[in-house]
Amino acid sequence: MGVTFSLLRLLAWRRLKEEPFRLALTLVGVALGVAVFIAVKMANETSTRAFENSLVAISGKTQLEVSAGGLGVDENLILKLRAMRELKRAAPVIQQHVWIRGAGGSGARWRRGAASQGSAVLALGLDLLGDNDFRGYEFENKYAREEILSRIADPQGLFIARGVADALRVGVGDFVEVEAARRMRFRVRGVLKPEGMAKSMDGRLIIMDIGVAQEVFERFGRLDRIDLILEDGGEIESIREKIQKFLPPGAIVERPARRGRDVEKMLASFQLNLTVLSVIALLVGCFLIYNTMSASVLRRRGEIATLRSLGVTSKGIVSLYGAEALCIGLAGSCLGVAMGVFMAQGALSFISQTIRNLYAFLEVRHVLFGPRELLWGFGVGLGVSLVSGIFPAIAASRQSPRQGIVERQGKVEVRPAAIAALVSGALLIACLAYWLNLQALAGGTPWPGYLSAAAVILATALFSLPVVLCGSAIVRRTLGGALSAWLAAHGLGRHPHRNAVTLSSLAIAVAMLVSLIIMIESFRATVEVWTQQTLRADFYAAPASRFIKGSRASVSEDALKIIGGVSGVAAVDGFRAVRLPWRGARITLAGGDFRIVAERGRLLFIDGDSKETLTRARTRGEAVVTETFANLYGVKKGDYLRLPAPGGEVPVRVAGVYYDYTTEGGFVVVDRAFLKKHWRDDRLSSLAIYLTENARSEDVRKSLENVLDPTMVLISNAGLKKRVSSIFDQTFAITYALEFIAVLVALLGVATSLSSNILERVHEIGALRAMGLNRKGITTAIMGEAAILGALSVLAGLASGVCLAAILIFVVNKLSFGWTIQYIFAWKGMAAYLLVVVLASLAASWLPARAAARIPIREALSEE
Amino acid sequence: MKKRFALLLAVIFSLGAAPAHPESWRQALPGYRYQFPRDHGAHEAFRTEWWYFSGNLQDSRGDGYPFMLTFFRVGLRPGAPRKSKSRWLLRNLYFGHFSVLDAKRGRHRFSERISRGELEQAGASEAGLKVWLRDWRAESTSEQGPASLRISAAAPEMKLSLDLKPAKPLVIHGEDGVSQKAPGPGRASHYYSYTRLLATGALEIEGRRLDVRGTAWMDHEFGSNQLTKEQVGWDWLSLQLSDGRDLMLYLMRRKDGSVEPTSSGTLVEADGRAAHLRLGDFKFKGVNTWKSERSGAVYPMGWEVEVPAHGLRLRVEPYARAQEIESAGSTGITYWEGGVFAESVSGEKKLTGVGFVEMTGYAPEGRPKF
Amino acid sequence: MAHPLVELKEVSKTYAAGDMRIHALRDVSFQAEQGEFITVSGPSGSGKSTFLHLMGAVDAPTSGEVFLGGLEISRLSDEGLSEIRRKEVGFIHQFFHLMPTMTVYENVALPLLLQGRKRAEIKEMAENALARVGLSNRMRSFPRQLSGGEMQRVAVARAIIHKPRLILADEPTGNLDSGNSQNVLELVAELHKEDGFTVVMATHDQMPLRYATRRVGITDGRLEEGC
Repeated sequence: MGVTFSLLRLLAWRRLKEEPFRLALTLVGVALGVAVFIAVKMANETSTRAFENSLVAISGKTQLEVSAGGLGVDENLILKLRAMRELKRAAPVIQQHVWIRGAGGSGARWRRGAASQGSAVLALGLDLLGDNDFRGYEFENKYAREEILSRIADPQGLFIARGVADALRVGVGDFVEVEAARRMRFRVRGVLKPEGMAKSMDGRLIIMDIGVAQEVFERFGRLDRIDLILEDGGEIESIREKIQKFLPPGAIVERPARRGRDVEKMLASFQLNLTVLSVIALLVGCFLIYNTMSASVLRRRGEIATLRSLGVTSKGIVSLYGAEALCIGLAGSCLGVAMGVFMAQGALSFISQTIRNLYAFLEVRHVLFGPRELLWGFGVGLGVSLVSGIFPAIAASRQSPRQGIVERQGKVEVRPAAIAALVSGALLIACLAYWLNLQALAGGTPWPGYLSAAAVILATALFSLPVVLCGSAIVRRTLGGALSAWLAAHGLGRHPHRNAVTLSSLAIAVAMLVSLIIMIESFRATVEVWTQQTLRADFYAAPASRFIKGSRASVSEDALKIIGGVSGVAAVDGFRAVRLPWRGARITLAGGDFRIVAERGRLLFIDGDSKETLTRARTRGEAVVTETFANLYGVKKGDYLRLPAPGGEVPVRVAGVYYDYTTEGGFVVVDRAFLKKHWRDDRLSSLAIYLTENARSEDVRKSLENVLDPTMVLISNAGLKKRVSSIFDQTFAITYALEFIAVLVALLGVATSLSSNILERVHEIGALRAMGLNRKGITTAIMGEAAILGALSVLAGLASGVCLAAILIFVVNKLSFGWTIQYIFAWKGMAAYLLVVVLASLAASWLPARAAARIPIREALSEE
Repeated sequence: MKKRFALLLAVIFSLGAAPAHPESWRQALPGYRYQFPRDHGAHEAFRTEWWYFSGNLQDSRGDGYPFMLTFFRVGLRPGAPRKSKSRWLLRNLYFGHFSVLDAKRGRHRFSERISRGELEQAGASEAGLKVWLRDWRAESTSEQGPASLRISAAAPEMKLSLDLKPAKPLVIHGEDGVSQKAPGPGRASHYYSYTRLLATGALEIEGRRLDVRGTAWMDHEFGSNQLTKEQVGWDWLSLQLSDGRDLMLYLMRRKDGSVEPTSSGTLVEADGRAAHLRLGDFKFKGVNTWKSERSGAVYPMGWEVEVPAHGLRLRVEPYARAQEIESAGSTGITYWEGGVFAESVSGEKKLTGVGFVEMTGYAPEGRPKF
Repeated sequence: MAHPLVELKEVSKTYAAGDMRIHALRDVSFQAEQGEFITVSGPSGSGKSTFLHLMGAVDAPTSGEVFLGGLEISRLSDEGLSEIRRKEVGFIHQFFHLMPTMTVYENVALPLLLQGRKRAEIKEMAENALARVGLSNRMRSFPRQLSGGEMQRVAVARAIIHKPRLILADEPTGNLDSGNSQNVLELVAELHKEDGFTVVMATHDQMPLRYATRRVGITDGRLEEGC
């Protein structure tokens, strides 16, 4: 052990000191891989934990909850529950999302749409006199305590968490405006200490007495939830079953943890995707280390031979080089962890923004990290170094003592048998990948799809050596006339293994990039086509708080009449969406005006005409479902769904399945009259407004703004499309970021590999220079080598990227999220990116090439 | 939780430090015009209000069961209540106290209730006597003639249901319609009683179901800001005498041990005529004491009650000493409320009587803050 | 009489190089006693180096047996062979094979380091060895700062520092001018006299032959005595 350490110090460390540039490149490469991995991991864990904490904090000591989706439970139910002997306490809860803003005493009016300038917060309506059994919160101000009851009873009173108070810069006694179903003015009657429940979601929480909440949200006669605490010694499951039996249809009783399950599942898929991406950079880093180490081993074969002749065992050599790899790994990990912690903050803001856009209301600002995450980072970095460094180390130890002493580096022979083996192996794996995809599609889970993607990557790696050899042969034959080209090709063939590794890493990074670009652009194009075809209304209106994910804000039906009365308006389609518990999950039941949609709008059905299907659905009380719904629950046209409604279960036939890209989880849509009849709900979530032929858009907009309640936001068709687009971009921004980092690491690999190559061939360069090749020629030859390598990598990457994209689009995405995406290959964009990669390879080679050209001839010719 | 809530509650009643609301509670001032049956109902403009029933019941064997049932209403915000479709909107808090003494066995039971009035679970009508707290009720019935009442309450191990018929018309205490508790306008309440009600009904106690009858007393008081900071509590007495007369006395006690000069009482003749008694007109003095183990309070036990002008010299004794009530779960007040009996000490006629004594503010914690 | 230090019994060695098979040694039998100074002559590619490698536990024969100090080393594991190299053998190469990143002192001390000896011990022995080769003043220099002759002398010091019984020199003067060659050879002869180790030196130079107590030759893989 001590011997190994001494040798490390005397040999490896001193050598590395002489080549700081290469060491730095390697370290940065490793560090980036580790950094990305940790950043994504930490951001994912932080957001998951924040989400869970928010659920737990809000549930407090609740053991069971009664809820009925978006429509709420009948408030009288709480009396029935209180009569149950097994229950100790039952508390009413109203939970909604609202915009809140500080309001000056003067009561200045907000601009329409200014709600979004405020803060999105979670509003809880609770029985503040009795809720302390369930949730913990304390008021900051001792003064407020003395008057607590009077303040609680204030029908204009509100209590805000410290987080909100800081964000809005308000305190006790100040006025705020809250936008929900209506815009209402409140007086802050107390500020909650940032503990327990009031700490979750970064403190974006307001609470009010339950009666006040019913008024604000116009939830008369209903509660969002009834929280229950059982008598001591009660068995939760049997009590739960007992309660479920007497609940009306549509209401469910469950443990609090299950409430977030739907969102958590979707979150998990999203996070898995990110994790897989983050691993790519790490994988590429692997190749980097492998290359560096094997180049190092090759250059130091003389040293190895001497050591062997001095009596160092093979194991000793393995330890020596293994330890070297570990040290690089350690240093890279340190750097990587530091970078990762830094990057995690950025990753978190991306991720939480996406979660906010797509999944749930979540506020989380600060990355949580502790020793565990750091250990992960080190573990991963060291693991990667060890795994990729061990092979060169073993190769070094296999070098027979005789070899190193006697031979000078001649051309590395690659036996045709080996090439054949590689090619057939690669083809075999490609077939395996194909088979795996079929399995995935048959089985309905995406896991085989992920495996097949891994298989494709493996096949790419295996193909790399044949490609290098082929490529160099082809270039030699076609461009062999030009000396530089010939030299470049020759150089490529000189170190086929090393170049193959470099090519693999770059090709894989490129493949991932290509596949992602294809997938994202296909997705974007599909969605654009879809929005073109289905978003047909001229304006859309909705309560501003509807833009907070998870919001249940609604407006009264009267809006239909009001808007309908505006001149220039031809039709108004009122849309209502509520969450409904069904088959153990929560689905969205929606109601729209099928007549209007049939005539003026359009849904793209998988099978069937829009107008016919909608008319049929309207007249016969049938439903149309989105494709994601159909895929997720295995439902098809003609099936019957049994939907729970207040009056009992309602069987609804599926009239058709249509494409939709606005939500995950899926919609079941019925005609709104049907919804009203069976679910007794007459409110609206949003409206689609169609103008007459000759109406002038701007004029109508002004008239609409005059009549609409200021809490409503009005968006034009173009505006909505833009919004869809921007959410799209936001969501994939982080994906792009991760990908570029992987490519960067791969390019670092190119640079290190090339400079290793050069050192190998110092002699040859010297000989060439002695023969009269000028500096420019050397530079061109080496850069040419890089260019060819880059081009080959790009081609290989393109080929596998195209396959990977197909896997992503047709298998992984389809099975994870349920969308159909058209495979669209965007030539222009792609070509641009790939050209950039080739140029980058060239750029990466420039410095090493120049350095090579500058080596004085005498030095180049002299012996080691 | 209950303790904390009660603490909050007890605190809320201390209005000395409370800032003024833009709207204020109505004060109990002289000149109030009483109108019945409307004034039997709740007075939302006033802050605190209670309907108090007590009585001495006997079963068929003659065993005695003094009982007390009180409904409290506490307003949280002054001003006219808003019309709202929400059945949860907080306006008043309602409390109930219910106690029964098994005089033979000396066992005293107490139960308390509290409600914020959601979903009509508790309330008090403003039109007439109808006040309820879940399944505890007190309301006028017209089954047994005009102005008869029914009260009922249930608790673990005791359940009461009584029909009450006034044997005399109601009596308004105090002077000029206002019962002054301390000097100063508003330091008073509007206070009237049915001093003699005939009670019949059923009592279930410890699983025994008994038919009971006896006499009962009803108080209805409402006001805001009654007590001052210098006052710690009061001693109150009600008696129904064998010669048909009824007596009510109260002493407001101050921190320094003295008695508020505005303390007063009422003597009601057999024919219903009422005479107001000023502090100098009567004597109401504790003879012995009794210390409560639970609260550490030392209560006067056994009293000398004299109203010389009306020829009354009585000795009043409790049916049992341990009739203290700790209401940590509702009002947070600790007080002594128990059935008593009286005997004349001297004078021509031999008089007896039954009634109730109430003493508040003796426990270091749990002082009333009305 | 003690058994010979080195013995080869009908040893053959064959390599594969591409598609060809090279017979480096054919049925060679050989013995060397402790203390001999043997030169091995022969043209390039004749198998001289292979001959040395087999003796020095650097390589294993295709057939036949190799004995070192009475111990059969031909079938030893890598561990065993390494140990032998550490303890019993010292190599001197044509191209010196010094570690460029280590100082003269460190190069010389390397065999002792590998044996895991203590620092103090190493220091004493290294300084001693350097003194014996006359390079005490160059202890802190790096190989690139030395001339060819100096480098080879460092190699010699390294070869003898651990007091091996066998010194194998493969064309030690191949890369030196005549002056330096002479110096190095005299140094080796002197050390040989002082320490009594066995020297087997492969060379196609004439100069070393002078110092030999015995000469053998290898042609086409076959050994001949007295050339």
